[in-house]
Amino acid sequence: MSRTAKRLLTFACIVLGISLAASILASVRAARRGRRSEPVGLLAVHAAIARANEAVLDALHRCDPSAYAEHFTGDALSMPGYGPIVRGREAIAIAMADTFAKIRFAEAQMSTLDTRIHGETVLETGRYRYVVVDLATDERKTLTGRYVIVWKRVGNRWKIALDAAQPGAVPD
Amino acid sequence: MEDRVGRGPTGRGAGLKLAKRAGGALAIVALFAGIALLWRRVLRARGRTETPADVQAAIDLANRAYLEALENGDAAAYGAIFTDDAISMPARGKIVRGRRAIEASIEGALRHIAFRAGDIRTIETHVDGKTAYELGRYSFDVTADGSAQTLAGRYLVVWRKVRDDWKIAVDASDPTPAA
Repeated sequence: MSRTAKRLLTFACIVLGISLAASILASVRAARRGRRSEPVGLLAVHAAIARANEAVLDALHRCDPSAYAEHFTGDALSMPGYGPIVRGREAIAIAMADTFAKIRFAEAQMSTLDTRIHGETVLETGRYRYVVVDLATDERKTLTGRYVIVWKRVGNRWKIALDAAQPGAVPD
Repeated sequence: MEDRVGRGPTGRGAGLKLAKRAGGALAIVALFAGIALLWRRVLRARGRTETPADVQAAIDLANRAYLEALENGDAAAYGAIFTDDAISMPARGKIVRGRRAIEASIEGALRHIAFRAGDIRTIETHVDGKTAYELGRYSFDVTADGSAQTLAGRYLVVWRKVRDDWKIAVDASDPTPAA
C-alpha cells in the first residue's frame, strides 16, 4: 500500500470515528429528551382512553371529586362550559366538589368522535350528554355538547392535560 | 516499451493510482456529507426545544394571519394555518375534518359573511414539545346577508409544530359567557 493510500485510510478512519461519536452523542441527547419512547399503538391508546373515560364517568356518577381529579395531570387545565377556567388538579378537585354540592349526575355519557395520536400526546374530540339533578330544586336538566381532551402519557397512564367543553354544539 | 507502458506517467499504473486517489477522495466527501447530515439533525433537534416565549410569539403571528385571512376573505390563507388532518369545531356548526375541507367550508362561509374588527387574545398557552394548547378569547363583528352582530366567546386551539411552523390541529370555540 502506497504512503498516500495509507494516509487516506488513516484520515478516513479518523473521520469515521468522529461521525460515529457525533451519532452516539445525538442518540444520547435524543434519548435524554425522551424522544426515543416506544411507539404508541392506536388500539392500545383507544382502549386506555376508553377505560379512563369510563373511570371519569364513574367518578361523576359517584360524585367523587378526588376520583374525578385523579385523572388529570398536576398542571391540567379545565375549561367547562359556562364556567371559569380551572388550573391544576387540586383546583379541579375543589371545583368538582363545589359542583357535586349543587348537582347530581343522574346520567353521564361520553362518545369519542376523533382521536389523533402525536407521540406522548393524544387529542380526543367527542360528544357528551349529562342529565343532572339540581339538589336544591330536584329539577332535571339535560346538558349536551362536544368536548376536546388533550391526553398526556404520565408513566404508564394517560391523564387529562386539558379538558374543554363546547356546550350546546349542533349534532354532527 | 512494456515497462514504459506499465510504469510511465501515462501508463496503467498511473491510472490505477489516480483511480485509488479518486476513490479515497469520494469516500472522504461521502463521510463529510454524512457528518453534515448528522449535524443538521442535531441542529434540528436543538431547534425543537423552543422556549415557551418563542412558541407564543409564533402563535401570535399565526393568530394575526388567521384574523387577516378572515378579514380579507382569503380562504386559502386561512386554510394554510391548519395541519392537513386538522379538526375545526365551530360553535354553531358541524365538525370539519382536514385542511382542504376547512378551506372549502370557510370559502363557502366567506361568500356571504364579512368579518371585521377581529380580536384574539390568548389567556394562556401550554407548550409540550411539538404540541401547544392555547386558551383565549375572541371577538368579531360579523355581517351576514346585511345584518350585523358581534360574535364573542372563548376558544381552545391545539397547535402542532409542522416542520418550522406552528399550525392549528384543533380549533374549538365556546360562545357561552364564562361565569
